[in-house]
Amino acid sequence: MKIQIVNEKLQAPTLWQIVRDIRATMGVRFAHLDSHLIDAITLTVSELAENIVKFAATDAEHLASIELQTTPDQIRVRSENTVRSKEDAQVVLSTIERIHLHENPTALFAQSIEESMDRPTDGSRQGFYQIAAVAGFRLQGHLEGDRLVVIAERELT
Amino acid sequence: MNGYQQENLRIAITDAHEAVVVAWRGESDARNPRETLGPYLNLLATQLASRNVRVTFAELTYMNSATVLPIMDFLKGLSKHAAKVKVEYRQDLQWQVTSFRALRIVARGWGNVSVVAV
Repeated sequence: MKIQIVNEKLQAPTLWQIVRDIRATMGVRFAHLDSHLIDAITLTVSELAENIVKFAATDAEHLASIELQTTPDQIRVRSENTVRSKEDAQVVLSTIERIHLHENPTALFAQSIEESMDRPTDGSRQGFYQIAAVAGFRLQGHLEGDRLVVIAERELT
Repeated sequence: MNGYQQENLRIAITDAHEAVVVAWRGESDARNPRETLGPYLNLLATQLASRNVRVTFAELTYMNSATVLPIMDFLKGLSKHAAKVKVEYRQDLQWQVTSFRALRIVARGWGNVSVVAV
């Protein structure tokens, strides 16, 4: 997080601005890749960051992280955060399990949209369906105590 | 019919002779677009009653997952109110191709809505 001094006032960015800043850096960091891969990585990192902002415990004692590892052939994005509740974590893990078991991510994404359209509020974690169907990443998730770990991987082709 | 602008997203309305064009531009990355953008789109859908409507996403450069539901709510509203609805996405942008492939499945039962690549 960057804190700027503007007109003698200290200004810290909002958490949502941090998500935007993270997204903006992906195009620079991965400028050597094809644009469709940059878009896929940007979407995935941004959605995982949004999930942290929306659903994680993000006070000073509970730092969250998103870690990117790349080889010439593959990229791995790992997000880790403290959960606000076990129930929240279970929603994430069951969503990832549902995606993992389904053979057609696009059809499942469409199904999740249909399921969510009639709900007044969206607690469906649409981002995970979008990561799988639109960005083409494989997802895994697990709990380490009260820390939720989500790993997204795909080939760089 | 007014356009919409919030943060990095602009929606421009052009009332042409054959159809009203609803053009999405920029980035749709609001935290709760169903709350912020949704009421505008609900009103717009009713204002477009009986009109032919072309909704184009050709100049939309990014949309987060939270944007999908307001878009689908809007298209469903248009399917009830408008005469014909043509939804256009960019075939040279992989993220739009894969996104609208799913949206087309959802819209398959809405007889007056077509989803096409441009």
